[in-house]
Amino acid sequence: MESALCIQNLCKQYKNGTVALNDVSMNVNVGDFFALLGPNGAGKSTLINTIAFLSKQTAGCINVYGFDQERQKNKVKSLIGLVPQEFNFNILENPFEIVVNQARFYGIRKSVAKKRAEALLKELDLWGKRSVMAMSLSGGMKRRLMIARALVHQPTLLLLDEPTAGVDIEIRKSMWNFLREKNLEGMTIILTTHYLEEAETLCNKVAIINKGKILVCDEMQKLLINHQDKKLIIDLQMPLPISPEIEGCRFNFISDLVYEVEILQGYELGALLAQFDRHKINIKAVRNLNNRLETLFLEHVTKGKEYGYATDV
Amino acid sequence: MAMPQMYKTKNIYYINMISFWALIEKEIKRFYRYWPQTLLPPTITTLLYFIVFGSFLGKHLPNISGVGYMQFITPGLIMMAVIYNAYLNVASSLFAAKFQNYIEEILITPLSSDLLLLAFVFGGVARGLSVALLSGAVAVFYAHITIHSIWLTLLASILISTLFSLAGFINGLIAKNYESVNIMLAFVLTPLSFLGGVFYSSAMLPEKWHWITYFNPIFYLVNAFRYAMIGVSDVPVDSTFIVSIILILIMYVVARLLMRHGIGMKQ
Repeated sequence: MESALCIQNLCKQYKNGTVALNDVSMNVNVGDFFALLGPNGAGKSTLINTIAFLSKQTAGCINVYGFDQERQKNKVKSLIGLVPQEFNFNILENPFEIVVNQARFYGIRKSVAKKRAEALLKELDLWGKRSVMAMSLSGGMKRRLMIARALVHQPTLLLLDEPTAGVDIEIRKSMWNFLREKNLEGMTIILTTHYLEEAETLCNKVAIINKGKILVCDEMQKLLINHQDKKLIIDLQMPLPISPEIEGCRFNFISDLVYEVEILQGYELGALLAQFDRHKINIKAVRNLNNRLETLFLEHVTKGKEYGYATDV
Repeated sequence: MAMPQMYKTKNIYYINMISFWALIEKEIKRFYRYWPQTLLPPTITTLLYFIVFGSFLGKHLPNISGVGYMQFITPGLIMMAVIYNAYLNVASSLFAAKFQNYIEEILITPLSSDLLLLAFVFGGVARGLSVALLSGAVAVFYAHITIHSIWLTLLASILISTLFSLAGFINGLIAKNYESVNIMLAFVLTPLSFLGGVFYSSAMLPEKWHWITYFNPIFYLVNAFRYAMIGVSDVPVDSTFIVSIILILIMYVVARLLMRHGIGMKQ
Protein backbone atom coordinates (compact mmCIF):
# COMPACT_ATOMS: atom_id res chain seq x y z
CA MET A 1 0.00 0.00 0.00
CA GLU A 2 1.26 3.48 -0.88
CA SER A 3 2.58 5.48 2.03
CA ALA A 4 1.19 8.97 2.60
CA LEU A 5 3.40 9.71 5.57
CA CYS A 6 6.47 7.85 6.70
CA ILE A 7 8.28 9.02 9.82
CA GLN A 8 11.57 7.47 10.84
CA ASN A 9 13.42 7.95 14.12
CA LEU A 10 12.08 11.44 14.62
CA CYS A 11 13.47 13.28 17.63
CA LYS A 12 12.77 16.76 18.88
CA GLN A 13 14.57 18.32 21.78
CA TYR A 14 13.84 21.91 22.72
CA LYS A 15 16.59 24.32 23.66
CA ASN A 16 15.68 24.00 27.34
CA GLY A 17 16.44 20.28 27.15
CA THR A 18 12.85 19.04 26.98
CA VAL A 19 12.54 15.94 24.86
CA ALA A 20 9.24 16.31 23.02
CA LEU A 21 9.68 13.49 20.51
CA ASN A 22 11.83 10.47 21.20
CA ASP A 23 12.66 8.23 18.26
CA VAL A 24 9.20 8.33 16.73
CA SER A 25 8.64 6.05 13.75
CA MET A 26 5.28 5.45 12.12
CA ASN A 27 3.64 4.97 8.77
CA VAL A 28 0.32 6.26 7.50
CA ASN A 29 -1.04 4.83 4.27
CA VAL A 30 -2.81 6.74 1.54
CA GLY A 31 -6.50 7.02 2.42
CA ASP A 32 -6.05 6.30 6.12
CA PHE A 33 -8.00 8.17 8.75
CA PHE A 34 -5.36 8.04 11.44
CA ALA A 35 -5.90 8.87 15.11
CA LEU A 36 -2.96 10.15 17.11
CA LEU A 37 -3.89 9.91 20.76
CA GLY A 38 -2.05 10.86 23.89
CA PRO A 39 -2.43 12.74 27.15
CA ASN A 40 -1.71 16.46 27.37
CA GLY A 41 1.95 17.20 26.71
CA ALA A 42 2.52 13.80 25.11
CA GLY A 43 4.03 15.26 21.96
CA LYS A 44 1.04 15.11 19.60
CA SER A 45 1.11 18.78 18.61
CA THR A 46 4.90 18.80 18.36
CA LEU A 47 4.68 15.87 15.96
CA ILE A 48 1.98 17.60 13.90
CA ASN A 49 3.93 20.88 13.90
CA THR A 50 7.12 19.11 12.88
CA ILE A 51 5.39 17.46 9.93
CA ALA A 52 3.91 20.85 8.96
CA PHE A 53 7.23 22.77 9.14
CA LEU A 54 6.33 24.78 12.22
CA SER A 55 8.89 23.03 14.35
CA LYS A 56 12.24 21.66 13.31
CA GLN A 57 13.25 18.14 14.21
CA THR A 58 16.52 17.45 15.98
CA ALA A 59 16.94 14.15 14.15
CA GLY A 60 15.06 11.73 11.93
CA CYS A 61 13.27 12.06 8.63
CA ILE A 62 9.78 12.58 7.32
CA ASN A 63 8.50 11.51 3.91
CA VAL A 64 5.19 12.73 2.54
CA TYR A 65 3.89 10.87 -0.51
CA GLY A 66 7.46 9.81 -1.16
CA PHE A 67 8.86 13.33 -1.00
CA ASP A 68 11.56 14.08 1.54
CA GLN A 69 10.40 16.83 3.88
CA GLU A 70 13.88 18.40 4.16
CA ARG A 71 14.99 18.26 0.55
CA GLN A 72 11.66 18.66 -1.26
CA LYS A 73 9.98 21.01 1.15
CA ASN A 74 7.93 22.93 -1.42
CA LYS A 75 6.32 19.76 -2.76
CA VAL A 76 5.65 18.54 0.74
CA LYS A 77 4.22 21.89 1.86
CA SER A 78 1.84 21.85 -1.10
CA LEU A 79 0.55 18.41 -0.13
CA ILE A 80 -0.19 19.21 3.51
CA GLY A 81 -3.18 21.01 4.98
CA LEU A 82 -3.00 21.97 8.63
CA VAL A 83 -5.72 22.71 11.16
CA PRO A 84 -3.79 23.67 14.28
CA GLN A 85 -4.97 23.38 17.84
CA GLU A 86 -5.05 27.13 18.52
CA PHE A 87 -6.91 29.65 16.41
CA ASN A 88 -4.26 31.16 14.19
CA PHE A 89 -5.86 33.59 11.80
CA ASN A 90 -5.98 37.35 11.77
CA ILE A 91 -9.08 38.14 13.78
CA LEU A 92 -9.39 41.50 12.04
CA GLU A 93 -9.89 39.90 8.63
CA ASN A 94 -13.07 38.31 7.38
CA PRO A 95 -13.44 34.57 6.62
CA PHE A 96 -13.54 35.08 2.86
CA GLU A 97 -10.33 37.11 2.91
CA ILE A 98 -8.63 34.57 5.16
CA VAL A 99 -9.42 31.62 2.91
CA VAL A 100 -8.67 33.47 -0.35
CA ASN A 101 -5.34 34.74 1.00
CA GLN A 102 -4.37 31.27 2.13
CA ALA A 103 -5.07 29.87 -1.33
CA ARG A 104 -2.92 32.61 -2.87
CA PHE A 105 -0.10 31.84 -0.45
CA TYR A 106 -0.09 28.40 -2.07
CA GLY A 107 0.24 29.98 -5.51
CA ILE A 108 -3.40 29.78 -6.57
CA ARG A 109 -4.66 32.62 -8.77
CA LYS A 110 -7.07 35.06 -7.15
CA SER A 111 -10.01 34.19 -9.41
CA VAL A 112 -9.64 30.46 -8.69
CA ALA A 113 -9.03 31.14 -5.00
CA LYS A 114 -12.27 33.10 -4.74
CA LYS A 115 -14.29 30.27 -6.32
CA ARG A 116 -12.74 27.68 -4.04
CA ALA A 117 -13.23 29.83 -0.96
CA GLU A 118 -16.89 30.31 -1.84
CA ALA A 119 -17.43 26.58 -2.34
CA LEU A 120 -15.70 25.66 0.93
CA LEU A 121 -17.39 28.33 3.00
CA LYS A 122 -20.76 27.20 1.66
CA GLU A 123 -19.92 23.57 2.35
CA LEU A 124 -18.95 24.40 5.91
CA ASP A 125 -21.94 26.64 6.43
CA LEU A 126 -19.90 29.83 6.80
CA TRP A 127 -20.95 31.66 3.64
CA GLY A 128 -23.41 33.81 5.54
CA LYS A 129 -20.54 35.03 7.74
CA ARG A 130 -18.06 35.62 4.93
CA SER A 131 -17.87 39.38 5.44
CA VAL A 132 -17.83 39.69 9.23
CA MET A 133 -14.61 40.05 11.17
CA ALA A 134 -13.27 36.66 12.23
CA MET A 135 -13.15 37.81 15.86
CA SER A 136 -16.96 37.86 15.94
CA LEU A 137 -17.33 34.19 14.91
CA SER A 138 -18.34 31.57 17.46
CA GLY A 139 -15.85 28.88 18.53
CA GLY A 140 -17.41 26.31 16.21
CA MET A 141 -17.33 28.71 13.28
CA LYS A 142 -13.69 29.51 13.92
CA ARG A 143 -12.88 25.79 13.88
CA ARG A 144 -14.74 25.35 10.60
CA LEU A 145 -13.01 28.38 9.16
CA MET A 146 -9.65 26.77 9.92
CA ILE A 147 -10.78 23.61 8.16
CA ALA A 148 -11.88 25.62 5.09
CA ARG A 149 -8.54 27.41 5.09
CA ALA A 150 -6.61 24.14 5.37
CA LEU A 151 -8.47 22.62 2.42
CA VAL A 152 -8.42 25.52 -0.01
CA HIS A 153 -5.24 24.41 -1.76
CA GLN A 154 -6.61 20.86 -2.07
CA PRO A 155 -4.05 19.02 0.06
CA THR A 156 -3.80 15.26 0.01
CA LEU A 157 -2.71 14.96 3.62
CA LEU A 158 -4.78 16.79 6.20
CA LEU A 159 -3.40 17.27 9.72
CA LEU A 160 -6.07 18.02 12.30
CA ASP A 161 -4.86 18.97 15.74
CA GLU A 162 -7.87 18.74 18.03
CA PRO A 163 -10.23 20.21 15.43
CA THR A 164 -13.38 19.77 17.50
CA ALA A 165 -12.08 20.99 20.86
CA GLY A 166 -14.72 23.09 22.57
CA VAL A 167 -17.29 22.52 19.85
CA ASP A 168 -20.86 21.47 20.70
CA ILE A 169 -21.98 17.96 19.83
CA GLU A 170 -24.19 18.98 16.91
CA ILE A 171 -21.45 20.88 15.11
CA ARG A 172 -18.96 18.21 16.05
CA LYS A 173 -21.06 15.55 14.35
CA SER A 174 -21.50 17.68 11.24
CA MET A 175 -17.73 18.17 11.18
CA TRP A 176 -17.29 14.39 11.48
CA ASN A 177 -19.54 13.87 8.46
CA PHE A 178 -17.62 16.46 6.50
CA LEU A 179 -14.27 14.90 7.36
CA ARG A 180 -15.53 11.40 6.68
CA GLU A 181 -16.61 12.54 3.21
CA LYS A 182 -13.20 14.01 2.53
CA ASN A 183 -11.58 10.78 3.65
CA LEU A 184 -13.88 8.76 1.39
CA GLU A 185 -12.84 11.01 -1.49
CA GLY A 186 -9.31 9.76 -0.85
CA MET A 187 -7.80 12.35 1.45
CA THR A 188 -5.44 10.98 4.09
CA ILE A 189 -6.26 12.46 7.49
CA ILE A 190 -4.31 12.49 10.72
CA LEU A 191 -6.37 13.49 13.71
CA THR A 192 -5.32 14.27 17.24
CA THR A 193 -8.14 14.42 19.73
CA HIS A 194 -9.04 13.95 23.35
CA TYR A 195 -12.51 12.71 22.36
CA LEU A 196 -11.87 8.98 22.11
CA GLU A 197 -15.35 8.42 20.74
CA GLU A 198 -14.41 10.72 17.87
CA ALA A 199 -11.29 8.70 17.11
CA GLU A 200 -13.17 5.41 17.36
CA THR A 201 -15.95 6.64 15.08
CA LEU A 202 -13.78 8.17 12.39
CA CYS A 203 -10.43 6.46 12.30
CA ASN A 204 -9.25 3.17 10.88
CA LYS A 205 -5.79 3.38 12.44
CA VAL A 206 -4.56 4.60 15.79
CA ALA A 207 -1.30 5.44 17.47
CA ILE A 208 -0.91 6.25 21.13
CA ILE A 209 1.91 8.57 22.08
CA ASN A 210 3.14 9.48 25.53
CA LYS A 211 6.15 11.48 26.61
CA GLY A 212 7.32 11.69 23.04
CA LYS A 213 7.28 7.95 22.35
CA ILE A 214 4.85 5.94 20.27
CA LEU A 215 3.47 3.24 22.58
CA VAL A 216 1.23 1.45 20.13
CA CYS A 217 0.39 1.88 16.44
CA ASP A 218 -2.01 -0.44 14.64
CA GLU A 219 -5.37 -0.81 12.97
CA MET A 220 -8.20 0.40 15.17
CA GLN A 221 -10.36 -2.73 14.84
CA LYS A 222 -7.45 -5.06 15.55
CA LEU A 223 -6.65 -3.24 18.75
CA LEU A 224 -10.23 -2.94 19.89
CA ILE A 225 -11.04 -6.61 19.33
CA ASN A 226 -8.22 -7.49 21.68
CA HIS A 227 -9.73 -5.12 24.20
CA GLN A 228 -13.24 -6.47 24.24
CA ASP A 229 -14.62 -5.27 27.53
CA LYS A 230 -15.67 -7.99 29.96
CA LYS A 231 -18.38 -5.83 31.44
CA LEU A 232 -21.54 -5.03 29.51
CA ILE A 233 -24.64 -3.04 30.18
CA ILE A 234 -27.89 -4.63 29.03
CA ASP A 235 -31.17 -2.81 28.64
CA LEU A 236 -34.18 -5.06 29.09
CA GLN A 237 -37.53 -4.84 27.41
CA MET A 238 -39.34 -5.73 30.65
CA PRO A 239 -38.25 -6.05 34.29
CA LEU A 240 -37.11 -9.41 35.63
CA PRO A 241 -38.80 -10.85 38.74
CA ILE A 242 -35.46 -11.96 40.21
CA SER A 243 -31.83 -11.50 39.23
CA PRO A 244 -31.11 -14.34 36.80
CA GLU A 245 -28.37 -16.88 37.39
CA ILE A 246 -26.73 -17.93 34.15
CA GLU A 247 -23.53 -19.91 33.82
CA GLY A 248 -20.62 -17.85 32.60
CA CYS A 249 -21.78 -14.47 33.77
CA ARG A 250 -22.74 -12.48 36.81
CA PHE A 251 -25.67 -10.07 36.89
CA ASN A 252 -25.46 -6.85 38.90
CA PHE A 253 -28.67 -4.95 39.38
CA ILE A 254 -28.62 -1.30 38.33
CA SER A 255 -32.31 -0.65 37.82
CA ASP A 256 -35.41 -2.68 36.86
CA LEU A 257 -34.59 -2.44 33.19
CA VAL A 258 -30.81 -2.12 33.35
CA TYR A 259 -28.25 -4.73 34.49
CA GLU A 260 -24.49 -4.79 34.47
CA VAL A 261 -23.31 -8.16 33.20
CA GLU A 262 -19.83 -9.39 33.94
CA ILE A 263 -18.66 -12.07 31.50
CA LEU A 264 -16.54 -14.64 33.28
CA GLN A 265 -13.25 -15.99 31.97
CA GLY A 266 -13.62 -18.49 29.15
CA TYR A 267 -17.14 -17.56 28.07
CA GLU A 268 -18.11 -15.91 24.79
CA LEU A 269 -20.74 -13.24 24.33
CA GLY A 270 -22.57 -15.19 21.58
CA ALA A 271 -23.13 -18.23 23.80
CA LEU A 272 -24.34 -16.04 26.64
CA LEU A 273 -26.84 -14.24 24.43
CA ALA A 274 -28.25 -17.63 23.39
CA GLN A 275 -28.65 -18.50 27.08
CA PHE A 276 -30.46 -15.22 27.72
CA ASP A 277 -32.86 -16.19 24.98
CA ARG A 278 -33.48 -19.59 26.56
CA HIS A 279 -34.19 -17.93 29.93
CA LYS A 280 -36.72 -15.63 28.19
CA ILE A 281 -34.69 -12.56 28.99
CA ASN A 282 -35.67 -10.10 26.30
CA ILE A 283 -32.83 -7.74 25.60
CA LYS A 284 -33.37 -4.32 24.04
CA ALA A 285 -29.75 -3.25 23.80
CA VAL A 286 -26.25 -4.32 24.78
CA ARG A 287 -23.38 -1.91 25.18
CA ASN A 288 -19.93 -1.85 26.67
CA LEU A 289 -19.60 -0.51 30.17
CA ASN A 290 -16.46 1.37 29.16
CA ASN A 291 -15.39 2.81 25.85
CA ARG A 292 -13.00 0.21 24.49
CA LEU A 293 -10.62 2.76 23.07
CA GLU A 294 -10.60 4.54 26.41
CA THR A 295 -9.63 1.29 28.13
CA LEU A 296 -6.92 0.66 25.57
CA PHE A 297 -5.66 4.23 25.86
CA LEU A 298 -5.52 4.19 29.65
CA GLU A 299 -3.90 0.78 29.71
CA HIS A 300 -1.09 1.84 27.40
CA VAL A 301 -0.50 5.20 29.01
CA THR A 302 -0.44 3.63 32.48
CA LYS A 303 1.76 0.76 31.30
CA GLY A 304 4.12 3.30 29.80
CA LYS A 305 4.46 4.92 33.20
CA GLU A 306 4.90 1.59 35.03
CA TYR A 307 7.57 0.22 32.74
CA GLY A 308 9.22 3.57 32.28
CA TYR A 309 9.61 3.30 28.54
CA ALA A 310 8.83 6.91 28.26
CA THR A 311 11.77 9.24 28.63
CA ASP A 312 11.89 11.97 31.16
CA VAL A 313 10.61 15.19 29.78
CA MET B 1 -6.53 11.01 -4.07
CA ALA B 2 -4.12 11.96 -6.81
CA MET B 3 -1.66 14.75 -6.32
CA PRO B 4 -3.28 18.09 -7.23
CA GLN B 5 -2.67 18.96 -10.87
CA MET B 6 -1.31 22.42 -10.10
CA TYR B 7 1.76 21.05 -8.35
CA LYS B 8 2.60 18.87 -11.30
CA THR B 9 2.46 21.73 -13.78
CA LYS B 10 3.31 24.93 -11.92
CA ASN B 11 6.86 25.62 -10.98
CA ILE B 12 7.88 26.99 -7.65
CA TYR B 13 8.75 30.44 -9.06
CA TYR B 14 5.21 30.88 -10.30
CA ILE B 15 3.78 29.76 -6.95
CA ASN B 16 6.19 32.04 -5.09
CA MET B 17 5.28 35.06 -7.20
CA ILE B 18 1.54 34.69 -6.60
CA SER B 19 2.18 34.08 -2.93
CA PHE B 20 4.54 37.06 -2.71
CA TRP B 21 2.03 39.49 -4.25
CA ALA B 22 -0.72 38.10 -2.06
CA LEU B 23 1.32 38.89 1.03
CA ILE B 24 2.25 42.37 -0.21
CA GLU B 25 -1.41 43.07 -0.97
CA LYS B 26 -2.38 41.85 2.49
CA GLU B 27 0.24 44.08 4.13
CA ILE B 28 -0.81 47.16 2.15
CA LYS B 29 -4.51 46.54 2.76
CA ARG B 30 -3.74 46.25 6.45
CA PHE B 31 -2.58 49.84 6.84
CA TYR B 32 -4.94 51.38 4.27
CA ARG B 33 -7.91 49.83 6.03
CA TYR B 34 -6.98 51.70 9.20
CA TRP B 35 -5.84 54.94 7.54
CA PRO B 36 -7.14 57.16 10.37
CA GLN B 37 -4.65 55.34 12.63
CA THR B 38 -1.84 54.82 10.17
CA LEU B 39 -1.76 57.66 7.64
CA LEU B 40 -3.58 60.57 9.19
CA PRO B 41 -1.63 60.99 12.48
CA PRO B 42 1.83 61.36 10.85
CA THR B 43 0.43 63.89 8.40
CA ILE B 44 -1.09 65.94 11.21
CA THR B 45 2.11 65.66 13.27
CA THR B 46 4.18 66.91 10.32
CA LEU B 47 1.75 69.77 9.82
CA LEU B 48 2.06 70.72 13.48
CA TYR B 49 5.87 70.69 13.20
CA PHE B 50 5.57 73.05 10.23
CA ILE B 51 3.30 75.38 12.12
CA VAL B 52 5.31 75.46 15.35
CA PHE B 53 8.92 75.12 14.18
CA GLY B 54 8.51 76.46 10.68
CA SER B 55 6.07 79.33 11.05
CA PHE B 56 6.23 80.48 14.65
CA LEU B 57 9.92 79.86 15.42
CA GLY B 58 11.31 79.78 11.90
CA LYS B 59 10.50 83.44 11.24
CA HIS B 60 12.96 84.43 13.95
CA LEU B 61 15.80 82.18 12.79
CA PRO B 62 18.42 82.96 10.14
CA ASN B 63 18.77 81.07 6.87
CA ILE B 64 20.71 77.79 7.02
CA SER B 65 22.86 76.71 4.07
CA GLY B 66 21.23 79.43 2.04
CA VAL B 67 17.63 78.36 2.58
CA GLY B 68 14.95 79.44 5.04
CA TYR B 69 14.55 77.47 8.26
CA MET B 70 11.16 76.14 7.20
CA GLN B 71 12.60 74.80 3.93
CA PHE B 72 15.63 73.43 5.77
CA ILE B 73 13.68 71.33 8.27
CA THR B 74 10.99 70.11 5.84
CA PRO B 75 12.97 67.15 4.39
CA GLY B 76 13.99 66.05 7.89
CA LEU B 77 10.43 66.19 9.15
CA ILE B 78 9.12 64.16 6.23
CA MET B 79 11.95 61.70 6.64
CA MET B 80 11.21 61.27 10.36
CA ALA B 81 7.62 60.43 9.48
CA VAL B 82 8.80 57.96 6.83
CA ILE B 83 11.23 56.29 9.25
CA TYR B 84 8.70 55.88 12.06
CA ASN B 85 5.95 54.62 9.81
CA ALA B 86 8.02 52.20 7.75
CA TYR B 87 9.53 50.83 10.94
CA LEU B 88 6.30 50.59 12.90
CA ASN B 89 4.36 49.07 10.03
CA VAL B 90 6.65 46.09 9.72
CA ALA B 91 7.49 45.66 13.39
CA SER B 92 3.86 45.76 14.53
CA SER B 93 2.54 43.70 11.62
CA LEU B 94 5.12 40.96 12.12
CA PHE B 95 4.76 40.99 15.87
CA ALA B 96 0.95 40.79 15.64
CA ALA B 97 1.28 37.89 13.19
CA LYS B 98 3.55 36.13 15.67
CA PHE B 99 1.48 37.04 18.70
CA GLN B 100 -1.76 35.78 17.16
CA ASN B 101 0.11 32.91 15.47
CA TYR B 102 -1.15 33.75 12.00
CA ILE B 103 2.43 33.91 10.80
CA GLU B 104 1.95 30.12 10.68
CA GLU B 105 -0.45 30.64 7.77
CA ILE B 106 2.55 31.72 5.76
CA LEU B 107 5.23 29.48 7.26
CA ILE B 108 3.42 26.33 6.18
CA THR B 109 3.22 27.48 2.55
CA PRO B 110 5.93 27.22 -0.11
CA LEU B 111 6.66 30.97 0.04
CA SER B 112 10.42 31.33 0.43
CA SER B 113 11.93 33.11 3.43
CA ASP B 114 13.47 35.78 1.20
CA LEU B 115 10.13 36.65 -0.35
CA LEU B 116 8.42 36.61 3.03
CA LEU B 117 10.95 39.14 4.27
CA LEU B 118 10.65 41.24 1.10
CA ALA B 119 6.85 41.23 1.22
CA PHE B 120 6.88 42.63 4.75
CA VAL B 121 9.48 45.20 3.68
CA PHE B 122 7.35 46.16 0.66
CA GLY B 123 4.45 46.73 3.04
CA GLY B 124 6.66 49.03 5.13
CA VAL B 125 7.95 50.86 2.06
CA ALA B 126 4.40 51.33 0.80
CA ARG B 127 3.40 52.91 4.10
CA GLY B 128 6.58 54.99 4.19
CA LEU B 129 5.94 56.29 0.68
CA SER B 130 2.28 56.97 1.42
CA VAL B 131 3.25 59.02 4.45
CA ALA B 132 6.00 60.78 2.44
CA LEU B 133 3.45 61.67 -0.21
CA LEU B 134 0.95 63.06 2.28
CA SER B 135 3.57 64.92 4.30
CA GLY B 136 5.18 66.14 1.07
CA ALA B 137 1.82 67.48 -0.11
CA VAL B 138 1.48 69.36 3.19
CA ALA B 139 5.05 70.68 2.74
CA VAL B 140 4.46 71.86 -0.81
CA PHE B 141 1.24 73.55 0.25
CA TYR B 142 2.41 74.98 3.57
CA ALA B 143 6.17 75.51 3.18
CA HIS B 144 6.01 76.38 -0.52
CA ILE B 145 8.82 74.02 -1.35
CA THR B 146 10.00 73.39 -4.88
CA ILE B 147 11.40 69.89 -5.09
CA HIS B 148 15.00 69.80 -6.33
CA SER B 149 14.82 66.33 -7.91
CA ILE B 150 11.64 64.28 -7.83
CA TRP B 151 13.52 61.10 -8.81
CA LEU B 152 16.19 61.49 -6.15
CA THR B 153 13.47 62.24 -3.62
CA LEU B 154 11.67 59.06 -4.63
CA LEU B 155 14.92 57.07 -4.50
CA ALA B 156 15.83 58.47 -1.08
CA SER B 157 12.32 57.74 0.22
CA ILE B 158 12.52 54.16 -1.01
CA LEU B 159 15.98 53.59 0.44
CA ILE B 160 15.08 55.09 3.80
CA SER B 161 11.81 53.24 4.13
CA THR B 162 13.49 49.99 3.03
CA LEU B 163 16.18 50.40 5.65
CA PHE B 164 13.74 51.05 8.47
CA SER B 165 11.32 48.39 7.30
CA LEU B 166 14.20 45.94 7.65
CA ALA B 167 14.94 47.33 11.10
CA GLY B 168 11.26 46.87 11.95
CA PHE B 169 11.36 43.30 10.67
CA ILE B 170 14.37 42.47 12.85
CA ASN B 171 12.70 44.02 15.86
CA GLY B 172 9.44 42.21 15.08
CA LEU B 173 11.35 38.93 14.95
CA ILE B 174 13.15 39.28 18.24
CA ALA B 175 10.40 41.12 20.15
CA LYS B 176 8.85 39.15 22.96
CA ASN B 177 6.09 41.64 23.72
CA TYR B 178 4.51 44.83 22.41
CA GLU B 179 6.67 46.97 24.72
CA SER B 180 9.85 45.80 23.05
CA VAL B 181 8.46 46.86 19.67
CA ASN B 182 8.25 50.42 20.98
CA ILE B 183 11.50 50.39 22.97
CA MET B 184 13.66 50.65 19.84
CA LEU B 185 11.46 53.45 18.55
CA ALA B 186 11.60 55.41 21.78
CA PHE B 187 15.19 54.81 22.81
CA VAL B 188 17.03 54.42 19.51
CA LEU B 189 15.19 55.87 16.54
CA THR B 190 13.82 59.02 18.14
CA PRO B 191 17.14 60.15 19.73
CA LEU B 192 19.06 59.34 16.54
CA SER B 193 16.54 61.28 14.47
CA PHE B 194 16.66 64.35 16.67
CA LEU B 195 20.47 64.20 16.79
CA GLY B 196 20.74 63.45 13.09
CA GLY B 197 20.40 67.00 11.88
CA VAL B 198 16.69 67.20 11.24
CA PHE B 199 16.41 70.60 12.92
CA TYR B 200 19.95 71.94 12.41
CA SER B 201 22.97 71.82 10.13
CA SER B 202 26.07 69.98 11.38
CA ALA B 203 28.00 73.17 10.60
CA MET B 204 26.19 74.77 13.54
CA LEU B 205 27.65 72.21 15.98
CA PRO B 206 30.94 72.51 17.92
CA GLU B 207 33.85 70.64 16.26
CA LYS B 208 33.84 67.57 18.61
CA TRP B 209 30.12 66.97 17.96
CA HIS B 210 30.80 66.66 14.25
CA TRP B 211 32.43 63.27 14.78
CA ILE B 212 29.60 62.02 16.88
CA THR B 213 27.15 63.13 14.22
CA TYR B 214 29.11 61.30 11.53
CA PHE B 215 28.53 58.03 13.40
CA ASN B 216 24.81 58.58 13.34
CA PRO B 217 23.40 56.76 10.28
CA ILE B 218 20.30 58.94 10.28
CA PHE B 219 22.48 61.98 9.66
CA TYR B 220 23.34 60.60 6.20
CA LEU B 221 19.73 59.72 5.47
CA VAL B 222 18.55 63.19 6.46
CA ASN B 223 21.13 64.71 4.18
CA ALA B 224 20.32 62.38 1.30
CA PHE B 225 16.68 63.35 1.59
CA ARG B 226 17.46 67.02 2.08
CA TYR B 227 19.62 67.11 -1.01
CA ALA B 228 16.95 65.32 -3.05
CA MET B 229 14.27 67.74 -1.89
CA ILE B 230 15.98 71.11 -1.67
CA GLY B 231 19.46 70.53 -3.13
CA VAL B 232 21.31 71.16 0.17
CA SER B 233 23.49 68.68 2.06
CA ASP B 234 26.06 68.81 4.88
CA VAL B 235 28.04 65.92 3.37
CA PRO B 236 28.80 64.79 -0.20
CA VAL B 237 25.55 63.42 -1.57
CA ASP B 238 27.20 60.26 -2.98
CA SER B 239 28.26 59.20 0.49
CA THR B 240 24.73 59.57 1.82
CA PHE B 241 23.35 57.12 -0.74
CA ILE B 242 26.28 54.73 -0.31
CA VAL B 243 25.79 54.67 3.48
CA SER B 244 22.08 53.99 2.97
CA ILE B 245 22.75 51.05 0.66
CA ILE B 246 25.42 49.57 2.94
CA LEU B 247 23.08 49.81 5.92
CA ILE B 248 20.29 48.15 3.93
CA LEU B 249 22.58 45.26 3.02
CA ILE B 250 23.69 44.83 6.64
CA MET B 251 20.10 44.84 7.88
CA TYR B 252 19.05 42.38 5.20
CA VAL B 253 21.83 39.95 6.10
CA VAL B 254 20.97 40.20 9.81
CA ALA B 255 17.27 39.58 9.11
CA ARG B 256 18.05 36.56 6.92
CA LEU B 257 20.44 35.11 9.49
CA LEU B 258 17.79 35.41 12.21
CA MET B 259 15.24 33.75 9.94
CA ARG B 260 17.62 30.98 8.97
CA HIS B 261 18.06 30.12 12.63
CA GLY B 262 14.30 30.22 13.10
CA ILE B 263 14.60 33.01 15.66
CA GLY B 264 11.19 34.41 16.46
CA MET B 265 9.51 32.22 13.85
CA LYS B 266 9.93 28.52 14.55
CA GLN B 267 10.22 26.43 17.66
